[in-house]
Amino acid sequence: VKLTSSEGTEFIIDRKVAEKSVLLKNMLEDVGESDMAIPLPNVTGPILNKVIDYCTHHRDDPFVSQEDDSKKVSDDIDDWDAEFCKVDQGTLFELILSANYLDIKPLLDLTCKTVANMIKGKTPDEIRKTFNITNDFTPEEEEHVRKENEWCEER
Amino acid sequence: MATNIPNEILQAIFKFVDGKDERDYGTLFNCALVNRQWCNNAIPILWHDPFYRETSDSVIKTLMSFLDNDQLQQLDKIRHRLPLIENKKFDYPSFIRCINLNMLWESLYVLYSPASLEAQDTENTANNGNNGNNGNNGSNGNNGSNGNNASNGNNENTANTAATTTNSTSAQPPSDPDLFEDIKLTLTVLLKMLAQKITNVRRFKINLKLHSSNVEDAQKGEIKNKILELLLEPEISDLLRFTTELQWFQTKPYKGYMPQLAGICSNLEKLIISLGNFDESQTDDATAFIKAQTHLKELEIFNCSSGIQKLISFSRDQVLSIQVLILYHVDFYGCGPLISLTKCENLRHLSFRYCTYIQKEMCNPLFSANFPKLKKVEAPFTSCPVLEEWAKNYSK
Repeated sequence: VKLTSSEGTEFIIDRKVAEKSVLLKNMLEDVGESDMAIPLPNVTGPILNKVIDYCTHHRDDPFVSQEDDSKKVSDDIDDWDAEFCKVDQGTLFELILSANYLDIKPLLDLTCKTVANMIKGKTPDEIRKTFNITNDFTPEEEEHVRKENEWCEER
Repeated sequence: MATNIPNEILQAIFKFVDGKDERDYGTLFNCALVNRQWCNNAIPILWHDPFYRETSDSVIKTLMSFLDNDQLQQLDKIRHRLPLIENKKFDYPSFIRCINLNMLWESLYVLYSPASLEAQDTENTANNGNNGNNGNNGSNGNNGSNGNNASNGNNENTANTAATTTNSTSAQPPSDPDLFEDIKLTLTVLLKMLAQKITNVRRFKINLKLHSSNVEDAQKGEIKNKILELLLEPEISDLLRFTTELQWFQTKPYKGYMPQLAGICSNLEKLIISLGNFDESQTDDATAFIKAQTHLKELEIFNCSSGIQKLISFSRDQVLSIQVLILYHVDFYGCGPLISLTKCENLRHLSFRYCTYIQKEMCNPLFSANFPKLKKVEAPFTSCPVLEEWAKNYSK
């Protein structure tokens, strides 16, 4: 299967690897055998490279259905996956967006878990600093949210 | 980052922050305070199950602020009013997906208990002195991005009145019967409001322990029956009509209740029911309730001392729909061969834990049956070594 990244770089991968992406799997089923490259205008070359690494490593994993998401735990990341996610923050968020676009649920879960683990235990201010987020609340608004959700602070 | 991160991704991240078995309200609440986008995405998840494991009078206070004028008028009879929140930032009740009846009751008990009312009165007196500063400080004029703002135009006048009335009410601690009437009335009104606001309850938990109520068991039984009756009221029953999971613990239903409930609640995908101390007629009622379920995928039966064969003699539809069957502390005395289970071709998890009087003759049909999807079989601490052995080998 041929894929083209947003800059036009071509990647050739096994069909089994490509089919880890539900988007590509559906496309391949619709189109059938073809030499035409599939353009992925939302994914850059370096990110596509990472995504292919992930799908190749997990090519034999059983398919996880969309509904089977009962285990929302973030501490079950294995060593290879943890190493895979040791990237700068920009890359991590691009991986999340690509996993979402290509519909690769295990990769989306892994990257979201990694961000969730970066958030856990942090105060609002620490979270803002970690992800370089601007606080656009007015003090009154923030106080309002606190008051209406007072019960969360009790726990 | 994260200025361009789509809402759906933020929600996916927050679901992992939240966890499943151990909910992390603290961090999720910190997420809600990061900025407006994070707030808009974290608050609905925070409010999925606000009574998870703990009572909370603060949750009740926020919920009470969503009662409409008619509902507030119905509460005129109770002795104490609560300060209601104006200009709510979100339509909080509409985010709730899990209702825990016992926690609602207990939280109201905490809120209306004499100690709590004294504290409220002190607070109200203090607030009364500061009223001039309160003005309109919750106005959302800058909140252009928030599509979730609760519309509360109708409510404001009444809310103000209700809050003012509080200040003029003298704090006479109510006696227990009065207290229960107050709690029941408030619970009724709250459930009606929730039934209007919530379109799909994912989990409804009926586990009426009433721990904090200092009353005799007989009176507790009466109170429990009244609470159960509430759920059948037309303005409340929609909460159960669309529920997909019901958990039923520590609550003995009065005779005839469960078949009545089945008339409302028959779309369950998951039922967890503990039958501790159910008598024969109550077990028959529970059997009728289970039979009435048309989409049942998961059934967990706990603490059953008789009648298990009837309870798991599935209808023709259920034989095909059932995927998980967990039996925990079930007495199999007098049960015949478990032939009905052998027809459950979509079963993927079968568990007999701490089951007593279960014998090889009962289980024989299982040993020779073909379960094409069965992956997990457990039978620890049962009275039948052959069953335990079969389960161990099956899971291998």
